[in-house]
Amino acid sequence: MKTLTYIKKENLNTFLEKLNKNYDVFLPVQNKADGTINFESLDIVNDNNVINLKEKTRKSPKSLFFPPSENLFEFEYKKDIKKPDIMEIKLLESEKMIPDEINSRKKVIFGIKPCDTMAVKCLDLVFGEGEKKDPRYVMKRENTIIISIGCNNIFPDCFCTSVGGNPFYFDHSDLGLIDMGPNLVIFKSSERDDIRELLDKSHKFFEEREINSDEEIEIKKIISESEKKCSSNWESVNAEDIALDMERKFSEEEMWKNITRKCISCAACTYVCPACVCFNIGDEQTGMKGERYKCWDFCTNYYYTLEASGHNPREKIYQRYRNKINCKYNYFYKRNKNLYCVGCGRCIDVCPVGMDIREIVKHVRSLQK
Amino acid sequence: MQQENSVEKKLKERIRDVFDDFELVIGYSQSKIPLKVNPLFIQRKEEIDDLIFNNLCINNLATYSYFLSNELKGKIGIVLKPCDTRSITQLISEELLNKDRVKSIVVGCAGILDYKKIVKEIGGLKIISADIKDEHIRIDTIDENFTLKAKNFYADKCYTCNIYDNPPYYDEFIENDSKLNIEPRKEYEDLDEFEKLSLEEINSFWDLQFSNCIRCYACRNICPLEVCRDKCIAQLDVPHWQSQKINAVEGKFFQLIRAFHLAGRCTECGECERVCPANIQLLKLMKKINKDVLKLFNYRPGFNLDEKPPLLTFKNVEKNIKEEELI
Repeated sequence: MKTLTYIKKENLNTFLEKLNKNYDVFLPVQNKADGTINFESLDIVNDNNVINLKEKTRKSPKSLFFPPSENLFEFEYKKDIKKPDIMEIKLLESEKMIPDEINSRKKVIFGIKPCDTMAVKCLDLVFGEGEKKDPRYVMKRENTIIISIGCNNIFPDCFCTSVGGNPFYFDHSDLGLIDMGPNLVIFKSSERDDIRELLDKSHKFFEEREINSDEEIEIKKIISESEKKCSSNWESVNAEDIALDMERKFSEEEMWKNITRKCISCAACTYVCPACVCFNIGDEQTGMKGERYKCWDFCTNYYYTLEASGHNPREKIYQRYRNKINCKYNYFYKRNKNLYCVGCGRCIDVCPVGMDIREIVKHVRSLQK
Repeated sequence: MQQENSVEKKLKERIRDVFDDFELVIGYSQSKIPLKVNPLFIQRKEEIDDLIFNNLCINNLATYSYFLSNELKGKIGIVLKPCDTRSITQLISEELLNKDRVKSIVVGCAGILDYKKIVKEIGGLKIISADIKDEHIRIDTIDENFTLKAKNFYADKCYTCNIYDNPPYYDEFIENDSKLNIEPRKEYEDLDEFEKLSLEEINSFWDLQFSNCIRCYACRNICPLEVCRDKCIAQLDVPHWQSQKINAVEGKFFQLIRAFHLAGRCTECGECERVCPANIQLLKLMKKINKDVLKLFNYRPGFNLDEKPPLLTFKNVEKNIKEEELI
């Protein structure tokens, strides 16, 4: 990095507002009434809430690509009284069939943390790559620019460095920024055309000059300090080793029972997880008309594996939690060499009974076999 | 981090004495997350060392009683606060729990700090470290440091509590030298404002609250009395009572079913509100219903082992319901 491109923080709000004219800008917004932070549209920012780029959001940004529930299509049954043995099914040409994103403007997600961008990669591998793609997802992804800000502050539940990331990991963001006191410095920029376009359009907000050696040292210092602090939250673990350990200790029923005793099998951890991808598809019908919808589902749920016969292969909580952990650290790793835990720590924060995914993995690994 | 206090020491000693009777004892242990504690399941005697008891122990461990007593064969001991014993009493009175199998080890309580209240006070900032000393909570966040007076941040139930040193039900009672020392409030005082609202206002209040519901079922699964978690009509496929969609209508539908399921059974431990990731004011609804049940049936859940909850039984004549006025 020879030159330093940066935006002054005092100009940030004007920049975002300008950006919002051409794009739909989503960013972490804090509700003043109860203090919760979530990704919201810049349009809703008013006196009751405030932009907060420092803290973690309560819910993950995955709902911007993978909404909690969405209608896929609507249908209608048609029956002719003269031909009672024939039932015709017709898809309805309703507006709901077309996702909002087709006609809408491009989205910018601003201020997303590096761990959450790793989770977007996890979603990509499931919905956006390979033979079977979800066209809605692909459309949303292509229409979205991800601007990430690295983490100068590490919280007690952060552990991205242990699962292959780091607080300034920008491989999956289009623009990576570092917070340097009064300025946000562009640390990494992708070669996508729309990023160039965005930067061109807002060039007057960005200043450029030669970098001096002090600044180079400061950037290095910020990065290394954050990394050091984050890795002190949990030892660095080799993904391959964890996957192997999970595999080997799968049938240690007693151990799994003991370490998951406190779990109450709710969905709080799954629904705030940025990388959990499970969904269910169902029909809702009133009279002869109905709709097919897709909505989030969670594997710690008893009904998740309940079969039509009444048999449930994962009847007990420990079996379901074991699946959850294996899914994140073993199955997906085997499938596409990518852990499905990004170390954001939301599940630890939100868990009603203090389940700590780090402790669980540590426990599984420490069992001698 | 807090230092070992006298009641903690007494509790450990007592549990060591009686431990051989039990297959498993449930208590609290230290958490790595500031101002939180973890449930602890003790199966070996040396694990008693990890046990703690302080004013952060907000979890109602009675939640585990029903499911564990079905899973295990031996006796189970549970460390409870006096208010938590109401849940155990209620479960026994509804014949969901065998009182010979589940033993309550009750610890006198000096008030419990409400994590959500504290987080709200510091503007939702994430706590990096915290320390409690001499009735003061010192909190560090990224940029700011706070010092809060503990007496303002006890759980709502503490302000109306009158059983903190005389639990209505127990098998073992460990007295706490420090006593609850806060200004008491009248029971259901917080409902006064709410009850003045018009029907439309009440409806729109709940519409807004329930529109945040993400249907994670944490409220249902943490509740000590909702033993139906794996047989819930909100998730049944056949018959298909309720859609699995996550939106305002379905959220309200689920929450109202839940509320009426607990009408006159809820022991107001507040766990549902504590665990809700969407910050829905669930306890307010339960309190309102319980207040009505108290007025109509003169019944307070969780105090009487022999009395059945009014909505699980019937009388030919109800003293406080004038049928002729209802028509």
